[in-house]
Amino acid sequence: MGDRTDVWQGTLALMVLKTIEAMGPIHGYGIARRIEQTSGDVLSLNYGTLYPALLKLEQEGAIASEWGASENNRKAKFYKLTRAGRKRLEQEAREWEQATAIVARFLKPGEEPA
Amino acid sequence: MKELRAWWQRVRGISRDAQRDQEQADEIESHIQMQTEENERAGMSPQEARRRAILKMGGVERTRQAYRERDTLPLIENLLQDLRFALRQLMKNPGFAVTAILILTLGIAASVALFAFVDAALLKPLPYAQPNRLAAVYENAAAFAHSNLSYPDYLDWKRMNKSFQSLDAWSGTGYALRTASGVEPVPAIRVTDGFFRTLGVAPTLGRDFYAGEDLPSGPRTTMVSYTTWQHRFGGRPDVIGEAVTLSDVPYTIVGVLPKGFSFAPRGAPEFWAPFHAESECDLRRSCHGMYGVGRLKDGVSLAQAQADLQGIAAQLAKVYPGSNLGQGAALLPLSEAVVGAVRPILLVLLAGAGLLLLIACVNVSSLLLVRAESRRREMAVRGALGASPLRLVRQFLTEGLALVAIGSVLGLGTALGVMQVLLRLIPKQMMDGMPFLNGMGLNLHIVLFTVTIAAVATVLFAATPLVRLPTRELHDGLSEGGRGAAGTLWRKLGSNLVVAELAIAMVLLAGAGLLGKSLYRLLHVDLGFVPDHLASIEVSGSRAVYKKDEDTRRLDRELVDRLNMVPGVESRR
Repeated sequence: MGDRTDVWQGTLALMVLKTIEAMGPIHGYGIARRIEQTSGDVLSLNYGTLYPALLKLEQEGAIASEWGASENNRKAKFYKLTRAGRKRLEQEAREWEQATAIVARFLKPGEEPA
Repeated sequence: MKELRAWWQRVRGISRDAQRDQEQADEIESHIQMQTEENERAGMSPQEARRRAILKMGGVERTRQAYRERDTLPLIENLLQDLRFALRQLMKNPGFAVTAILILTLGIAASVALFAFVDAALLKPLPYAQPNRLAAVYENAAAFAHSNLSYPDYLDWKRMNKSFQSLDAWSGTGYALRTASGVEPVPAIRVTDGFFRTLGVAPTLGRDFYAGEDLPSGPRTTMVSYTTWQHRFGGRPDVIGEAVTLSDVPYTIVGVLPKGFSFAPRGAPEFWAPFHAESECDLRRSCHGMYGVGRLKDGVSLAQAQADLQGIAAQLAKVYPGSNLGQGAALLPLSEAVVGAVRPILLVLLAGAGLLLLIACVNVSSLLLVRAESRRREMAVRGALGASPLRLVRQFLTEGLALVAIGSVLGLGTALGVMQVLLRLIPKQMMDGMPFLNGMGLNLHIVLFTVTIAAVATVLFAATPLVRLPTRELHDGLSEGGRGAAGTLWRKLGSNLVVAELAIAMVLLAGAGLLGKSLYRLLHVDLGFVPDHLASIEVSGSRAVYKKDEDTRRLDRELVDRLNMVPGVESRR
C-alpha cells in the first residue's frame, strides 16, 4: 500500500455530507481541502471526482447549492445540507459505525464471541 | 426513491442549456483559482501554482466531462445528438430528404389504409358471442349452391338435427311505417324466436322475443335497432310498450337492440319482428324465402353438422319428393357468409399496397446507398478520429430512424385521410351490407401495424449503408478512390435492387392493367336498352286502402298520369 490512500466512491459521499454539516455552507474547494485535512493528509482526493459526487448528492436531494462570494470575494458555488440530507447523514453514519464495529471485532486478536 | 429522483433530474438535464455548461465551467475555474492562490501563498511561481492546481484536479477537461455526464444520461443525450445531426444532414440535402420521405409516406399510407380495411373486415370478428361457432345454413340444389330455406324444411331441420345448440332463421322484409308526416317504407327483418339468443345478443332495453312468440298465434311485437330508437323515438326509455303501425298492423315495441349490434347479411333493418308464418309462401315447402343461422354444439365441426343436415335433407326428399327431391344442405361459417365476397378484393389490394411499399423501400434504399457512397470518406475520417464502429453504426441507424419516423407519421396521417375518402366512395347500399366498416379509424391494430413496418424499414435502411461500409475497411475509404471488393459489391447490390424493383413494378402494372381492362368491359356491357335519363321508382300501397287488384291498377294509372304532368318528366309503365 502507498503512503496516501485513495478515496473510494461510497465513503466519499458520507465524508462530503459530514463535512458540509460541520462547516455550514461551503464551496467545492473548501470541501476538498477539509476532507484532506481531516484525514491528516493521509487521503489523496482527486479533486476532479468531487464535482460529479456533489452533483449526484444534489440530484438525490441531499444537498442544495447556490452561488455566493468566497472569503477572498471570489464567485463560488456554496453547498448546504437539506433536511433529507441531514437524515441521510445520520443513517449512513450509524450504518458505517456498525459495519466498522463488526469488522473490528473480527480483527481483534484472541477474543471469541461468547 | 432517491435514485428515481436523481434519474429524473438527469432526464431534465438532457435539455440543459449553455448557461448550465457555463456554470459548471465557472465552478471548476473558481476551484482552480482558489487552489492557485493558495499555492502562490506557499511560495510557488504563478505558472507552477496553476499547473499544480490543474494536476491535482486531474485535468480540467476530464473533470468537466465527468461533471457533465453526471448531469445527464449520456446514452440518451448521444441519441438526441445523433438525431439532431441526422436531421441536419437531411436538411442539407432537401432533394434527397423530400424524395425519400415522399416515397415512404406514399408507400406507408397505401399499406396502412388498406390494412385498416382488412383489419375491419377480416380480422375483427363479428359482433356476436363466440362468432366462430356460428354457421350460415342454406339448402342446396343442383342450380343453387346456397339457396334459401323454406319454413317447413327449416322446422324439420331444427327438430331433427343433432349438431346445433340452436338453429334459427330469418327473412328480410319491408314495412310501411306510419309516422306523423305520413307513411314511410322501412327495411325490416322477420326472425324466428331464438334468433338473438343464437347470436348471443341481448337487447339493451326491454326484452328478447320469447319462445313461441314467432308462431302465427303469437303477439304482434317488434324490436327496434339502436339507430331507429335514437332517430325515430328520441332514445326515450319509455319506448318499450309503445305501439307502432307497420303496414297497417299495430305492433308493440318490446326491445331495443344494443348499439354495436349489426346484422350484415340484411344491411340495416330498422324493425325486427317475430316470424309469423301466415302467407301462402311461408307455409309451402317449395317456397324458399329464409336464411338459417345456427350455433354449433361444442366439439361439433362444420363438416359434421353439414353431414347431419345432409342426412335430414335426404330423409325429407324421400317423404316429400314433389318439393324436396335433389335438395341437400350447405353450411358456411357465418363470417365467411358476411365477408366472403370482399375478402379476395381486400387481399389483392393489400398485396398490391405491400408491393408498392416494397418498391418504396427499395427506392429509398438505393438513395441511401448512393449517399453512403459519397460519405465513405466522412465515415473513414470519423473512424480515424476515434469514433467507435458502434457509434458509426448508430449514426446510420438514427438517420434511418429519422427518415422512417417522419415518413410513418406523415403516412399514418395520410392513411387516415385516405380511409375516409375510400369509405365515402362506397355506395350506401353496399355500406349497409358491411357494417364492420362503420366507425373505422385509428385503432391499436393500425398503430401496431405502422410501427412494425416502420421498424422493418428502419432496420433495412440502417443495414443498407452498412453493407457499403464494412467497418474493418474504413481505412480503405481514406485512400483516394479505393475501389476494391466493396465496389463490386455495391455494383452487384445496386443492379439487383433495380432488377427486383422492375419485377415488382411489372407485377403491379400488369395487375392494374388487367383491372382497368375489366372495368372498361364492365362499363361497355350491352344492356339491351339506353340507360340515359332513366329513373325507376318503387311505390308501395297499403292493402287496407287498395283492397282489390282493380284498385291497384287505378293507383298505377293515376301515378303515371300525374307524373307526366311534372315538367321534364316522361313517364311510362
